Amino acid sequence: MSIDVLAFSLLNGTLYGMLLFLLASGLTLIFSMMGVLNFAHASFFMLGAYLGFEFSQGLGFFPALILAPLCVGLIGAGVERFGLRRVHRFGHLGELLFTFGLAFVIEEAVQMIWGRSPQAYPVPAALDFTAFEIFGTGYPAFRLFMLAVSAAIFAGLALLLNRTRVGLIVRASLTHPEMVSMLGHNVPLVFMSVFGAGSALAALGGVIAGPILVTQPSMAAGLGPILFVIVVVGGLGSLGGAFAASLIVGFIQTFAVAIDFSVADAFGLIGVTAPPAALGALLRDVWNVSVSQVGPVIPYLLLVAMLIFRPMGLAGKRA
Amino acid sequence: MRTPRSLLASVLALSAAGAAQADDDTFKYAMIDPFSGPAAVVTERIEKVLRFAVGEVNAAGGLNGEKIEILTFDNKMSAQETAIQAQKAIDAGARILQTSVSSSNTFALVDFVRKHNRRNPEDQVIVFDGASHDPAITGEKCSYYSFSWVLDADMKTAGLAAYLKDRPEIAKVYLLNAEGSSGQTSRASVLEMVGAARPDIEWVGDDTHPLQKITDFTPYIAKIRASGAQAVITSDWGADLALVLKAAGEAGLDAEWFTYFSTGPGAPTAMAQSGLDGLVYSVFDGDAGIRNAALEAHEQAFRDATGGQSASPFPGDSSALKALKLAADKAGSNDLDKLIPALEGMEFTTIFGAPAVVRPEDHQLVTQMAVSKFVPVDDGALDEEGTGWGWQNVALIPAETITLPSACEMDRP
Repeated sequence: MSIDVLAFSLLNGTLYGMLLFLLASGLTLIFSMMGVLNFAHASFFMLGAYLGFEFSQGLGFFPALILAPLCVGLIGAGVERFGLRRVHRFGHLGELLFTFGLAFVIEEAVQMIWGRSPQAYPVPAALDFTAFEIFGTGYPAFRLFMLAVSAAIFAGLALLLNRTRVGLIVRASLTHPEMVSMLGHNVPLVFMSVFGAGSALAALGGVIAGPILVTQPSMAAGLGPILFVIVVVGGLGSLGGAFAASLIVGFIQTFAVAIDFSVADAFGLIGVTAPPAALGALLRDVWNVSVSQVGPVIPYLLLVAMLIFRPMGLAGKRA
Repeated sequence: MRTPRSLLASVLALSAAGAAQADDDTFKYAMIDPFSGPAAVVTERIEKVLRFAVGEVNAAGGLNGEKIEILTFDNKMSAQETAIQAQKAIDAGARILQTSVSSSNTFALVDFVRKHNRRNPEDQVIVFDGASHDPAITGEKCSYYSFSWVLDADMKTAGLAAYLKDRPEIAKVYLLNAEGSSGQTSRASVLEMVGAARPDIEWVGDDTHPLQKITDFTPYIAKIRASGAQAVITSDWGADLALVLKAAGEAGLDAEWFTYFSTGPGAPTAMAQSGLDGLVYSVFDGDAGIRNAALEAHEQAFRDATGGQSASPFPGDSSALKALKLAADKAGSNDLDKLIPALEGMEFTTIFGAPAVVRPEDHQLVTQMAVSKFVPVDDGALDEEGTGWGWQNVALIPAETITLPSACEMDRP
């Protein structure tokens, strides 16, 4: 791997990882606090992208950066207050099915409002320039901006959770919800706020990812599964774990593509050039598959391995 | 609760039955495609093109006085569901069953109709393949009862090979294809045909990526740049194509892109955003960038009727209806056993103004192919999806160059 590919892979891996973190941070908080695997989380991301597109057409990109997450946060809080809380008494399965259905409802609603074709959501003019050049290749300023926003959110969340009274209650609700409730705190309100804030973070991810990814109805379905990987690998309720897992997944997916190493090459090192005939057709198929071809699957392998060997995840406190 | 519910159910059933047996004196033409799910964006546009073409035929008196009526059936992008919906369409009286969006659905439909026609010689139907372009449909899977109305993938690759002969300066080429049959068949035929036409080309990369699962294509762009490729050939489509081209534009990659599916819905929006000025080529049956007065008039009429969308990404429907109308006139009857022989060898002019013929031995459409590049166009010229960008034709490859020998061994009744 040459040095310029390495440099760009580092940059792109960090950026993709940070974007994943914006989504995963909300999801992991919701998951660990309420026990709900929120299938609709990626849909809030999509909603953020569409509202961001709509607001930035009328008001410009930077107001949209604030307004769209606010709107989606309110929608998220409403979903918790009037949907999830009612379903809650039917147990976790009911909640799971509720969010599963909600994901479809949001996708259909988006298709009815904006249509099925992708939207032309451009990079804002103020950030549409080359930030710096390395190895003769420009790096777009908008990507740096995404990086900065994600880093700021991570720092802000970490401070909020570890240094403030609100964070104390949230963290206590994660592990001892009954005790927090008995101490007189309004746990349902905490749940609603966390769900709303988590949705708003996902929406913020959508607003900044919309211009570089394609703003279209299938964008939620594409990102959903990888978020579950991050939540499980990172560990329940651990923001630090989610952060580490996001970066790991970002790096895996970025670096794997650059590696053209296959089983054949591995055996080539020890002088074996053809697959042993005795091993049959299956091995012949696997023989020439390179790392870059299986790259996108590696995070899911990581998920399976993590569940087998360390079910609580990298930094989780509960299995 | 019981009564209203069963009442509702019977009302629904009645209205469904009513919709299914709409009109007894029309020629019923069924469209079996994914009307829901991610592929519905493609079906939406195909339906518009088909309805427009049918409207033209009906305005000209229909088929021997019979008006064509379109029935739509949602196959949910599944081969099994395609067969179920095909039976429904036949029960509703459809005589032509068309599917376009995926070749696996087309195979399922061709197989289903083959069996149906053998079992019901009195009630036969035919299959129109509107856009699925797999060479096997008129190759080893060919059938007397099915017709393909677009150039197949191998013909387009042959056209690309012919075009690249005139571009000797392109010497380093990168292949980027999705896993799955469509991507891998294209990859193999590019290696074979372009490799034979231009043995001097160095394949500096050959990547296979998962189908419609990647959100970040920047690592692939970094790899393409590092390989020093002057051109990338890709059979990617839909979200994959949009994302990879946006990533290329963002990174300022100056390689040329030869694509098979960049005219389809959504791609032009992403390409205009990517800012790849004149770097993305479409290798396709044709596009709105071909200079032809009849095509411009057709495009303008279609855009006026549908709110600015282009008809060119789906020429198969227009061709099918043109040939069908001519065949019905020639046969003087709408009976399928007279229509099929009339369709065989039928010559007509496509919307791109090019002569076309339905090859009798395999029912494959044979016509010219276009290579065009995507550039900003002048105000008032035909642009794509309201972007201000449009196609500019760079080469028309004549039908003789891309005609390949037929691999079909047809069972004729």
